[in-house]
Amino acid sequence: MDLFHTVVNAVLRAFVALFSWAPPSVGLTIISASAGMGMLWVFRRTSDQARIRRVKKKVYAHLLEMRVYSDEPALTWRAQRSLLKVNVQYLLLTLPPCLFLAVPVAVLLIHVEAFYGRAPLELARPALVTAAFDSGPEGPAPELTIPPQFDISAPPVRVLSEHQVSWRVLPRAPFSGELTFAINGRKVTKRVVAGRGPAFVPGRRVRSVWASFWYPDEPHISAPGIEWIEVSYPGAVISVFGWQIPWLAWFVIVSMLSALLLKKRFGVTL
Amino acid sequence: MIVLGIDGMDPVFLERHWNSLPNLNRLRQRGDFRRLATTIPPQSPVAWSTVSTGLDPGGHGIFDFIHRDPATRLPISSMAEVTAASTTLHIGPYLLPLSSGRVESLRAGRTFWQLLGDHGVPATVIRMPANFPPAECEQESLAGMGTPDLNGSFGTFTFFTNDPAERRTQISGGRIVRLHIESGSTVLHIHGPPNTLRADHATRDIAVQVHADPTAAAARFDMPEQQFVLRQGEWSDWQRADFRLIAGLKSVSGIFRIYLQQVHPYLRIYVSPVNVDPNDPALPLSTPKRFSRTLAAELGPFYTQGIAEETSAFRAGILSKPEFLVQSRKVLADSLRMFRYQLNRFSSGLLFYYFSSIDQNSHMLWGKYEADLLDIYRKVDGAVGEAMAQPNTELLILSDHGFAPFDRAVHLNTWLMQQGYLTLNNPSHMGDAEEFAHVNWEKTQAYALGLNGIYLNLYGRENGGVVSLADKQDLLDEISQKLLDFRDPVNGEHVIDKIYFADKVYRGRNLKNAPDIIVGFRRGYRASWQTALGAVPAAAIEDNTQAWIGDHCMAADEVPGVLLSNRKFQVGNPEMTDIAATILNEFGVPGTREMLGRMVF
Amino acid sequence: MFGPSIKLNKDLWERVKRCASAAGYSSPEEFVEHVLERELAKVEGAASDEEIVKKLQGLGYID
Repeated sequence: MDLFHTVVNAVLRAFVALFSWAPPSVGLTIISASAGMGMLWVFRRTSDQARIRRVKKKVYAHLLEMRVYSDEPALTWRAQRSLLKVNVQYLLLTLPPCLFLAVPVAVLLIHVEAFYGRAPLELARPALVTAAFDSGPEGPAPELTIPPQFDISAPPVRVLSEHQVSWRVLPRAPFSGELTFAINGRKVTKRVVAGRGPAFVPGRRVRSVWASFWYPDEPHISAPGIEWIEVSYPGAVISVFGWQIPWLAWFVIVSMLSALLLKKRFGVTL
Repeated sequence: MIVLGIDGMDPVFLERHWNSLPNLNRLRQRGDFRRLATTIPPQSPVAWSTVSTGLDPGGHGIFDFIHRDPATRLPISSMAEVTAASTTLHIGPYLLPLSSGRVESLRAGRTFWQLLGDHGVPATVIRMPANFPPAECEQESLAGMGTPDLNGSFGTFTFFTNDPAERRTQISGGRIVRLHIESGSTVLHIHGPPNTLRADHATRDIAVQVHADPTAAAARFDMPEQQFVLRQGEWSDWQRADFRLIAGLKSVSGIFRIYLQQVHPYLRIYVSPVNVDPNDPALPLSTPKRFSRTLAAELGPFYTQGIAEETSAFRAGILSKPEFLVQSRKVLADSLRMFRYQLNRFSSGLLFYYFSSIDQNSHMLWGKYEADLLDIYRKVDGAVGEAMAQPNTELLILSDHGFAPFDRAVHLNTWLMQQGYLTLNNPSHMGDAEEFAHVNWEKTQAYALGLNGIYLNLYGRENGGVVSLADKQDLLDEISQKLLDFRDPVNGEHVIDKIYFADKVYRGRNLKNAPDIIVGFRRGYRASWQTALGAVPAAAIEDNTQAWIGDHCMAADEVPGVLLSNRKFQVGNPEMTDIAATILNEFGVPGTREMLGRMVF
Repeated sequence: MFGPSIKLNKDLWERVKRCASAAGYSSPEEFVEHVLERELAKVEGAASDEEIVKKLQGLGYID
């Protein structure tokens, strides 16, 4: 799993680095448009195009029927029922391609979040680093070693009811690197980014291999006793023509638009 | 032209400290400095309404912080009135308004910035007191004193603790909530607005989880959308919260700050009043409506509550004096940040900017903590220096009143009772019960309410009033003479300097809410805390034992304000009514016929 | 018709009748009912006494 994530991550990093000269909306637009095209391709390969075409024709036919016989209640009623039926047929036909698409799209979105959904820690603004454990933490909080670009500005707070410890850190200068925790005699690291964005900002680091599907930005933790470590990053928004919008909204708009515009060229019936 | 309104700046204090206040001193030497005659009575909403409109209180209709409703004789705010929607639809627990409720300013008259706007002169007016909701106009204005918090009060803080020594639950200006702590964790329920969309008006709460470290003096606070850690003695940044009125449909946004006073052995947490969020205001905060949002985008969240200095928690002993000073400096820092922003974008027309800090700090520090108060004066002096640095700009600085010690508290209702003008159902009922709880109105000719007012129980005006119109003046003369003869039993001194009759002293005729007698206390004396809300305690006069040690609700001559400018004044004894006239004159804009003032230059 | 009745003095009743017809009410009774409703709403609708005081306390000047 780690290897797979590392590859996806490396590809995305290379891609984002390629567009580092442009505002983040440019890179995201290209990713979204490519995703739209990719989805079209998968759709064509995994759906029964002939049947979809037939069902769509039926939809149009029933719509026309309703319009032409709008003064005949019995006919309109029958047309409406048929319309409902072919709509269900249409949805069933689009189900297999949607299932094929679900996993790769989810993987893509989870990875892209680290580039466009989170902003690096702001300088001179306190942030929390929280670690969750299987139990305890009994005794004093684990030791956190920070790079010189950071201060720890409050004693660690042990939250016994949730088995967590939170440290308040204060970034003093731009930084991208690691925090080191000494947990049960083993060293565990967590990447941290401070300064100006956009940047690759990894979210939570987890121990469970299964959970690492949702938190793929860093390899899973191998030390026992610790469940996850997280840095509380501010959220990022994408600026598009002066509008501040969440990156996911822009992704949906662009990928859908590119799919709709290119479906003829790809010879796909949606 | 820049006009700075510095509430409570005292001329004698200035004269004692010119050397420590370089900018004000320079302004006095190069320009001019006078005492500014204040309004009768010298209370901020009264005086600033006169500044705004150029009318005396008889014209603008605001005579005290507190008016009374003649029908019920209950205290009401003099500044703004909130009317609930009159037509509603009842669905389940919800009460859906079919006609909208209103918030209305009770100040009459047109303001100088509205008149400037009529003639195309741009003006920005920040935090003018009693300007809530802000007077309608195209000019940029931000509401000031009189702006409520989300509870609809003038500021209600919450203090959360599991300290067994703290047994109170309700205190003036705040509430105290007991915490139950389990393995270091507990929940703060912070009250939002009463849900007027529900038939029972249940208050909307948000929950903040608190996790205290078992040994260290620090705690983590978990809000719905963020977490933060505070060390003991630290204040949080502004926290924003949505109070949902109807799930998914309607919510109200508020902002507040948390102060972690103590972690061990007992958790003590102060939560500020929940301010209206300037970024998404649930109440009218500014003109144009988007102005408060623009300010929040430029400056981040800021105090929108009219009087933000936490004097209530200090008086209640919940914040110590150093803690109060830290809090009030946060309010000032917030204000200075906005002041600099306004100064930077000011190019022409008028900028009015109001500072509350000297007034609020003087109430708590006057006569006893001179150095602390001077420190606040110095910071305001710094702001004056920044305004003076604007090239080719006329600068006018004024305060609405000065300050005096508040040593002795006068229970006017008790005095009225002793003189036979007010009767209780049973003499044993004397005490702190407010709102005239035990007064026999059939046998009462006069009552006191607010900080300077005595009202007759007048037939045809008060509900069940007994004093006939024919007897009114004789009774007023009689009470006044006795008030002027009233001596403090402890030192034999006169308690009252001057008596004013509303129908004699005001030129405006908007006297609907005016007290019949305005009491001008001698320096050092003030209407007691209990008088203001209509209580009748045992003694007529006693020591003021509160931490609130300075005041100004006395005879107008005892507490003049100040007027400073970088130009010379041509008028020897400027008055509060002159300010609007002078501002309008600077821009060649005619005033209204009712306006009273003269040009001071 | 059999509800409680209230006595008014003659002068007042004459004035009520005049105002009611001038203001377009269908009957003096309707006018009286409306006026009473309005006044009651004012008193009942006003926040409780305690609430009024709590709202004013933040001013600082009162206790």
